[in-house]
Amino acid sequence: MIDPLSRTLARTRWLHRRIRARVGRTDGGGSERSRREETERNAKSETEGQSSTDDRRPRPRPDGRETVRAVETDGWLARLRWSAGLQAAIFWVPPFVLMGWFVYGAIGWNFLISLTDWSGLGQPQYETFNLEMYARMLEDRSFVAAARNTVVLLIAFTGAALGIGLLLAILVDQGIRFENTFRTIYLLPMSLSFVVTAIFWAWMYNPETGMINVVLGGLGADALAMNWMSDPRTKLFSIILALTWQFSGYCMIVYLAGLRTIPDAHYEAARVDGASTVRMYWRVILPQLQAATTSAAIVLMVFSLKAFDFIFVMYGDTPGPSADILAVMMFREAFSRTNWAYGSAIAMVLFLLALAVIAPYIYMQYRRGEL
Amino acid sequence: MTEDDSPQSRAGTDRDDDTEAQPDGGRYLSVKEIPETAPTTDRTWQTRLVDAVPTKRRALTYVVAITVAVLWIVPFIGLFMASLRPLSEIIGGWWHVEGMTITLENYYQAWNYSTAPMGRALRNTFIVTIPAVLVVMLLGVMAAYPFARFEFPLKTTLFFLILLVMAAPPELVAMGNYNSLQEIGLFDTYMGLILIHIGWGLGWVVLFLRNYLLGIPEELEEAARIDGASRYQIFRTIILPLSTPALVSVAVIQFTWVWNAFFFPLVFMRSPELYLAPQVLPLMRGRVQVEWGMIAAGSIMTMAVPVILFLVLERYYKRGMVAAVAD
Repeated sequence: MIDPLSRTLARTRWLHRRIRARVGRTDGGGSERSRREETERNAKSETEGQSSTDDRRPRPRPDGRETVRAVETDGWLARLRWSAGLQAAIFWVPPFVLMGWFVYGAIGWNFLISLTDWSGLGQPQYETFNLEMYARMLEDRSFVAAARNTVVLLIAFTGAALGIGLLLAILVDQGIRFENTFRTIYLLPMSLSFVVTAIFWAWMYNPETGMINVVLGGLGADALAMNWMSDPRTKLFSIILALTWQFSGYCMIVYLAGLRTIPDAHYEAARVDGASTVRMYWRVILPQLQAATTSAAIVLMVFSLKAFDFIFVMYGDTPGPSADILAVMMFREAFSRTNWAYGSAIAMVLFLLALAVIAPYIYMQYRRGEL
Repeated sequence: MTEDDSPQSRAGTDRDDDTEAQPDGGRYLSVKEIPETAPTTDRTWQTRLVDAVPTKRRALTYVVAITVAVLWIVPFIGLFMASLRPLSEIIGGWWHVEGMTITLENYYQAWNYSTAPMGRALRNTFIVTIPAVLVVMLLGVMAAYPFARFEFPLKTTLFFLILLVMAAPPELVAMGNYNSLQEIGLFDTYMGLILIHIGWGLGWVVLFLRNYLLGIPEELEEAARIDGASRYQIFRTIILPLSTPALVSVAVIQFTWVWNAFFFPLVFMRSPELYLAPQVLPLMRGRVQVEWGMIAAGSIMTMAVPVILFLVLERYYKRGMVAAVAD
């Protein structure tokens, strides 16, 4: 806070400027009303200091009267001109022009294209709009498969990454030595490109020379060794496993931040009550991590909808019905087969899925005023 | 974790003898008994040795922690080994270390890969990533400032628009930008890709920086305002310096994102001489025989920059990752 002395000084300075500004003017007068407002404003700026910038710039008006609160006395244009809105606009407009063009504009255009029947090399025809492309999806078996895989991936991957992340966080939170080293190692995959991860794992899954099968063979579990990446039964599982490897470090960090806010007393109280470790974490600690779980889950779900890179690098644009996801299908339809409109429609469905995931969360936060 | 101590470590210490008598094992009642002097180190080396041996539970913790760490790191080691050895040696498994020959041949091959040399691809990646990061930092903090401090028309609407982008998959903006970049002649250029990365990244950056700015006490700006500083001056002299740590977080994470991005380059960069490093890697998987050594070398070159950045600025990276979801 500002100490009383400097506050008084500042106020004196402010009054001086004010007086100077007045003397400089010819009539020097103000209506009864503006004087009253001035006093109000005076008190106001002292308490919140919010609007004092405006005060120090007296704005002469044709009638010589000084407008103190433009919002009340002036028209729409002047309000726009002098309000904080304009000052704010200087800051937010340039970024929003870029976002407006490359994000919102692109989304809008994508939606328009999805309503046409544009395909092939020609230009889109924006004369007739219909929902034909959306109807086509329902009959497309590869769409149904892709949608199913997308949802499975979303749920399984989120669950697995959260679970492993929580275990890692608890492990690191035991006060082990070299905690930072362990944390760094667990988080390291997060900094990798999906492309590198996909290549990593394609190599690990390789049926002849891949590490996984060799290790399984070494453990005497030859029966379990299989062609992970091409067997339809294990395709999706292999993808989920690799993605979990990459993202559980992230969950660990989020959970660790949550764990560190829980007071030690809670652990001790549970111990005094004779709770076993598992029970303690399940009953006492986990409920307190709900906020961390929710926000991490949201991020993971949105990530899983974007797992394009990974699958595309592993399988190309046709991963087959057991590993296809909507994102890959969108690329295949739009950019490989030039079914532009159909691809756009799939992208819209993907967006709706993502919105369905994120909207309840945002609404909840908004209701609680935490946004 | 005293109560988990194994009997061996208990036996030697005096303290445990006292506490046996108390109803709760001495643990809770003794909290208030603050010793007046520092604990004397009259323990013999035997008791210390016994104490230093971890209990079963702790030992188990370490075993698990180390096992997981090994699982996490083995692929990296494998990649590294494969990149340094000729194909004939790694085809049977890189973990056979006998008769190992170390060669930089793979790196040389990857660097000069015929379709799209890695050297050029890395240069392209830098050309795209650096402006995309710097501009996002500046524009992001510019947009975040009014969201954190001003009241202005459309504020809530704009804010929800930003949140909306967080949910949007990159596939959603691909079609629109594919068309619009071709219209304005920026398709298949560095500039086009940079602009898209900036627009795409701004959403989370603004959100993250806004939350950070909300945490800075407003009094600092108030003082400057009373001294007659304009919004712009406040922004430059107070907001920018104070948000430096958050900006570093933004820089690290945005750098990692843009560098690692695969989808946008795949759609918008079509000429081989403009290929970015993540685009080149999948190309290296030939049709007939997979040159694992060369791919491994290429992967290491691709991941080197973000990994080094991560290791150096890990603190900021983590802070950003946690804060980005805690909003």
